[in-house]
Amino acid sequence: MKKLINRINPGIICIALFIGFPLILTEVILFSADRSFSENENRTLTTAADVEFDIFGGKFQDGLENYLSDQFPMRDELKGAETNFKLRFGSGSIGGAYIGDGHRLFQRIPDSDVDRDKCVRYAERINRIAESTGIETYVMYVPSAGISLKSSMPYGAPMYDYDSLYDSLTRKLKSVHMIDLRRALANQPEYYYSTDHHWTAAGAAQAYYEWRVAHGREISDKDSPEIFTASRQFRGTLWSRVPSESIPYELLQAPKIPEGLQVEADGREIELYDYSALKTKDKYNFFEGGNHGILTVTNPEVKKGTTLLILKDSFANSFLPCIVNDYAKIIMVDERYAFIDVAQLATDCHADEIAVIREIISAG
Amino acid sequence: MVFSSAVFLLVFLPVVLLTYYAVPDCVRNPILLVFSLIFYGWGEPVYILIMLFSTVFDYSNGLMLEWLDRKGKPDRRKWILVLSLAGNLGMLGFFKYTDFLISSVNALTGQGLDLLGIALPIGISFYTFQTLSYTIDVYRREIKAQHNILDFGMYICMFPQLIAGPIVKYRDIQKQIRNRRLGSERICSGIFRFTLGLSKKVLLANSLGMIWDEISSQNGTTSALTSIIGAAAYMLQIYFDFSGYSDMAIGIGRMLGFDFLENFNYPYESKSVTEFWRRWHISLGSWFREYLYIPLGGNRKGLPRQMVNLFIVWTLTGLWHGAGWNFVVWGLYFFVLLAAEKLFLLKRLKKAPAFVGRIYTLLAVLVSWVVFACDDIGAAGRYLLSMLGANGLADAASVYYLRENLIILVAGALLSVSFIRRQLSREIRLLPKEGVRFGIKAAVAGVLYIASLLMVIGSTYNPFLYFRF
Repeated sequence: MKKLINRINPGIICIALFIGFPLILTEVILFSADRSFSENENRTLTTAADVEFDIFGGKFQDGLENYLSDQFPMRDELKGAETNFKLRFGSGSIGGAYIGDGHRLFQRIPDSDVDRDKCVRYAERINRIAESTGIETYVMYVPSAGISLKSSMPYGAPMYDYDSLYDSLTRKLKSVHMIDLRRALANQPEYYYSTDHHWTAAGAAQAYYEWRVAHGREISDKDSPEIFTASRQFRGTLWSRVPSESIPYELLQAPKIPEGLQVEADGREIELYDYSALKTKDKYNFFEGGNHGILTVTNPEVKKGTTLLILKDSFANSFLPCIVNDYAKIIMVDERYAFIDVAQLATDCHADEIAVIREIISAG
Repeated sequence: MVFSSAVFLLVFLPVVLLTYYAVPDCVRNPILLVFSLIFYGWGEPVYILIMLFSTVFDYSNGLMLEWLDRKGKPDRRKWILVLSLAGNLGMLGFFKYTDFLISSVNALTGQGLDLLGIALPIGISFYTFQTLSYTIDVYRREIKAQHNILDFGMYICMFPQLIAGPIVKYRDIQKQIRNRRLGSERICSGIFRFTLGLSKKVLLANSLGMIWDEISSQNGTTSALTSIIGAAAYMLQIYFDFSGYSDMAIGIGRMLGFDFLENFNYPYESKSVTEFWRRWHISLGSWFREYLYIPLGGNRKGLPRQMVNLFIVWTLTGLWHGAGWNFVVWGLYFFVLLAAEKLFLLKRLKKAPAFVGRIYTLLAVLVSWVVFACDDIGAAGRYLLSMLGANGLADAASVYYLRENLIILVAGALLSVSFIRRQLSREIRLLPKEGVRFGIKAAVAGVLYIASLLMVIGSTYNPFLYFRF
């Protein structure tokens, strides 16, 4: 036996491993059941069925590369281990997310990622709509978490200049009411999720307070939305970039809403809260089931109320439940999914108010 | 196909090696040719035709040159050389420089001529220079023409060095085309070399590239310290990326029985720019020297002529790296430095302590990489000004970038010079048993291979820097 061991050439073993190991891995990938979705990465994975046999168009080559990467054995565990290693090493940024105090995650948005011209053009358009329709218009830009919680971010981590952008947009928005959330949301970690870029129900409720102030409405404790916990196992989209089990789950909360709301999204009746979303990775879709082109909420309890037209991004999804008792009808338009003439829609639906509710950098 | 991809590492390379070792000697060249064409066609299948044309064209030119010699018509040989130069350089010029020419004409005359939008066949600059070296050497009667088109095709299309060098001259491997040595020791040394190159590319260059991309995307608005961190990261990225590719090519070459010449020799420890270019992309430097600089007269026709020759060589060296004015400026920048060194600077540097030459070279090269990496001269200018403190010397962002990247920058700097490598090699050589020495190398290679493979699988950032070459 000893003689046999001595006769084995270590070089041959090395060559056999170099050729055999990758081929065995490929076999494992080919003969294992394909996963079609990665909950951790929150994205669809390429399966064998997705690989098109289009060699000259290059789809086969790209498909095979993606297939081998996506179906690699223990992909999630390896990604998690890599993330844990980086976190332990004290990395301040992983996968485009900053790692802040207590492993709070922030979206990395340096100035160079912000299209200021586009934001300005959007502001000019909103101002034109306000002027041409004569409808009271409110603009409530939401500061990104990295702006409101700057002191929790890694020191010096590049982030866009909110103040100068806000000022330049305000100069264009002469005919609207600005609702400035900077002070209201500043330095309050509970107003933003730790694993997602959105605000929490508490953050949205604070914004609602500012909303009422701007509308000259009475402020009292009974106007504060009553909050309930929808899920105790929420991890947002930023966690998908930093998928470490060492980052704990957090609560997904929402304001209580009255019964009898009629909600229609792109011509289909839905519920304001989509409980089925709580069983998926993307639990923020609990609010209205995610983004829709046009969503209409009618509250029959509000008899002589007014109609509000909202132009929004996903921040408004969790804000909407706060205001459903204040309006008879709310029409919420997400211009990323609905290409419509907003001024015409505002006139057609007899809107009494128009509101822009979105993160300042998505306004484009 | 690129080396640092899942398809190459998990399927292509193991299948090539398994097939190659399984078949008899006589069919290895055709097998290698077929696999090389698959490798090349993987990204853009239609460009296989260009490569095949190049192969047939220069194969015929070689035979013609030999035939004219046999027929006693040596005076007509130069026309074959002219034909080969025109064909190869014409093709390179058409694919690589047409749009550059049109956009330059537009910029100069204010016209709005439409760009042709021609996609650049990957690696065309590398294989054009390889085929040219073959024809020129046959013309000079330094080598005999290759009569077997499969063998010749294998040389032109050989995948290890096809898309990112080194530029392998036919005469350097002509004997190996028919007669290669394979043995477990050589193959293992190839595996170790390949793994080293792969880890340089995937573990170091890609991580460093992200720093440069992030800082340079801020369009020269960063403070001096931040900009210097970005430029230093790029300086290290391009070294580890390019030399990593060369290591991988040399490694695969060894696994297949070839000996390719070294392409990098720790260029960042050079004491002058002249020395830097003897250590950086050696195969390109020696190509230009042998096939352009010396035929132009080199330094044999007086100083003014030498300067003109240097000017031509460095303008073309710049253009070889990419069709853009920043590459021309980059080439001319080196012309100025090299001319200054030849005229007076080198003598002074030799008299000065070694660190003076090293710092001067590093700074000169650092500046050159900014010009090289930026898309246009304006962007390069803004970036260089930011390095000089146009936006302040340092700010909070500098602290962030320094803290985040200090380890990889220091590690990169240490690994880009030969000190650690020499120390490690010495320690390993001192070990008494060959088996232990081999075991340590294999274990290191295994760890590097697994780490690199996981990075290739898990990372979305894997740039290919040579798409403009």
